[in-house]
Amino acid sequence: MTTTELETPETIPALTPPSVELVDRALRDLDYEDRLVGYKMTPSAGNDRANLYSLPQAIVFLLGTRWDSPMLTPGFKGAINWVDLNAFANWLRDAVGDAPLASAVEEHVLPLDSYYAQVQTLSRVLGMRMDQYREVRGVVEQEADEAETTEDAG
Amino acid sequence: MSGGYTGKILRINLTDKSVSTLDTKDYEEYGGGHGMGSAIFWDLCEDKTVSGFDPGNVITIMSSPLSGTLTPAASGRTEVQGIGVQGYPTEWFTRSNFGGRFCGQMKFAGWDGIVVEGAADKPVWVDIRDDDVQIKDAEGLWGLDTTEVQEEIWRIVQGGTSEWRSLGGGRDSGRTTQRPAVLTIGRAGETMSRTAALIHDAGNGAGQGGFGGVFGSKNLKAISVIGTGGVEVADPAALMDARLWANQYAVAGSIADDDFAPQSMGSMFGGNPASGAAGYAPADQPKAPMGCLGCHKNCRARFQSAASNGSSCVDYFFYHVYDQAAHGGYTQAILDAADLLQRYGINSYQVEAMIIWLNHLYQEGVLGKGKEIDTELDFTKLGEVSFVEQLLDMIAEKYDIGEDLHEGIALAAVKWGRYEQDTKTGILPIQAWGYVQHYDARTEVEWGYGSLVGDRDINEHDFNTLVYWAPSIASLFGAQPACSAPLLAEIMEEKLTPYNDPMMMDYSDEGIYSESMAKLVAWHRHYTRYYKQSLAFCDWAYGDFFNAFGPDNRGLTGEGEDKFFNAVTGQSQTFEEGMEKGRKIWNLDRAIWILQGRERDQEVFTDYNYEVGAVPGYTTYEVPYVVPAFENGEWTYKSVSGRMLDRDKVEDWKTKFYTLEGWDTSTGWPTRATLEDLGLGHVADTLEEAGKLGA
Repeated sequence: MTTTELETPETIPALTPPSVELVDRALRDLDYEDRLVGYKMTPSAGNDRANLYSLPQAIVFLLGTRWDSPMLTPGFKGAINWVDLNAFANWLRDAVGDAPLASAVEEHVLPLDSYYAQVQTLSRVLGMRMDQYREVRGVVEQEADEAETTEDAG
Repeated sequence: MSGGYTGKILRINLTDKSVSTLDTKDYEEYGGGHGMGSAIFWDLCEDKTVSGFDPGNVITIMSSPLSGTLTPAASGRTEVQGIGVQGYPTEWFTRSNFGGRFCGQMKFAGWDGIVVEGAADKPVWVDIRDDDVQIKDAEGLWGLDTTEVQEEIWRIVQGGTSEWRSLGGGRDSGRTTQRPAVLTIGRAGETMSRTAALIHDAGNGAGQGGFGGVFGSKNLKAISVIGTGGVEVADPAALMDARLWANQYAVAGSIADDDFAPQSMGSMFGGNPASGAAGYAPADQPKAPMGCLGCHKNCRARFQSAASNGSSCVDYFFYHVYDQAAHGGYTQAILDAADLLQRYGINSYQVEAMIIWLNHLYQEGVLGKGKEIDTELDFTKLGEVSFVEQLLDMIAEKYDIGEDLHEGIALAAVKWGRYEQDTKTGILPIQAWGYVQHYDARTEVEWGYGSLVGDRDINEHDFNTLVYWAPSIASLFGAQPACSAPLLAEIMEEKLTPYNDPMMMDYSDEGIYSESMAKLVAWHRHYTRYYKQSLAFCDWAYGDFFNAFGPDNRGLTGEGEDKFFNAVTGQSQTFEEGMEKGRKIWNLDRAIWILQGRERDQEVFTDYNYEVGAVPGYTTYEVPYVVPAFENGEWTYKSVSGRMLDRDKVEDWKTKFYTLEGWDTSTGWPTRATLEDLGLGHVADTLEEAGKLGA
């Protein structure tokens, strides 16, 4: 296989910060009808469906490929976790409920030429968004702690 | 007798506890392994329509003339045949195969194969030490897992020492430092599960076919063999020359070590000789490569924890996605889960599909505690080793949903009223004959067609890496595979004798129904029946068509196989002659299936293959499938993801295939002319008596 130089965007603009409600909704477990279907592609063993029932589950799956491994040396024991990223963007908007994240994936990830390049950039987009989630959650937890402290003091 | 053969085959009747021999020479025309096994089955199995669990079922465990020799990636594989119990709706005469060193020890003990007939009235094991064959009480072994039973037999036979020992009483009776090679079943086999495997050493299993359950039905816990002899090679110098010659196709080629991985992709014979240790595992887990007898590739791994040792392919992979989901990465759970699978002796391919399907039903709300399919199986533990242990125990001991899954997923789906529905949507991806899809018939059609006109998931990767993996993975990187589509067509035209048709590589929407595709499937059936399953060239090294290290990027297939065979046997067989032997064996198998009831109209895929295409919102129904195609006068690689098969066109393709094979196009039965041309006149006579000879 001849490799090509990886082209990914240098900067990705920050997304509009999510609300507490959006974060709660986006991190919930989803029903059967709202699952995302991924596949693990395993040379020799074949391909198998992986049903994903939450955003965190999907992120672990999507970013779980060991791209640095000697991918297809005969006999190699590795796998590529693959998700149709068009479907992933739709799923983010319709099932997870994070439209800004879906738009960011559509704008910065889908136009890239290869799945490998897409996943590298997706990792950055998801990382930014998860930082925002954590920030919102952190503020909420801090407020809760402060409220509890005030209550105790009272 | 040619070199490579010991000259005799061990025949064991468990019903009357008798031991006798067959003369290998009577079956030498079939080469070894599968060919001999089919011919022996034809001769000895009086009623080929019985259940695989019937004492009348005859099981053959065969070596090849190359077993135990220096032939690379052909020395350590053993072929198992008989009426399987996994097939649905018919328990076809079928095959499985395992690696390791069993066939080598069998040869060193003086046996080209073992035939098992009848059934014991209580659990037994067979103790083979050179010519000394004893059927022994297995009371102390019954109930042990596959690791425990092997260790116990080693203790019994070996007495706990690994030093030089004599097997006989006299000074010249033969000595060895080796441990006995043991083929055994676990609890799943003992309880006659249709999804039980035969296990040998660590990580070698014959899973498909349910032969573990067949052993259980015969009350046969294990066969142990150790020998002190060797294999007589007709021309040792030629064999050594052939092995050194073959090095040019392996990693010893011109490409630097740190650069070989991507370029060797598709080079089946070549690659990293330690590839088994190149994959992932728990990050802190040291591991070493491990291989079968005489192999140059070592595609398996040995782990420091000892768990999962030698596991390869799907038994290593069946649980890693759940481990990753539960723990955020790969942990010891992968290895421990593989270890449990081996110890219970259960078919990993069935379990992998089973977990996906069961989880689907659980999430759908159909299966679970108090649900329509009521179970205590704890899905909150999915990803933990405890989940695998609970599931495997249910299957092996036949309780909870395990009572149904014990019969395999096809029959479980039938019992639960899910078969039609779930094979229509594809959430239960049974492709044909009760076997789960390995590669997609809608895209990589040679795999699907081969399974359809045969008896099981073929599990033969000859074209798979070149026509599917290489271009598909390259596309994920935005790159081109090392073997371009025009070069692939050119190489296959040269290599695929006797058809030599470049259009065999055309996987376009039209090409998959063509006469050329019929030729590709026929070539594949004939090649694998002889070279891979009878001479036991490993599926993970042959056929070698494109090879990054070979001269002009050509692999050794077409030249290498016979170079080794002739050196060992002293014969002068050509590749064309070998392919013709494969055609003969393939037709003999076909005759057995016809006696079992095979008709043309049975050879259809399950519904999802014809009805499920790209899902709304998805660009494809599955993974990227990029394959070679000849379109607009040019060879190219093309994505065919989302393609469905056309029922009428598949029927047209079957007619082309039957015609090419010399079979009656209305029934799929071989004609007398075809069988007599292959020296199978006696088979034609039997089919005619049964009213099943093609017109």
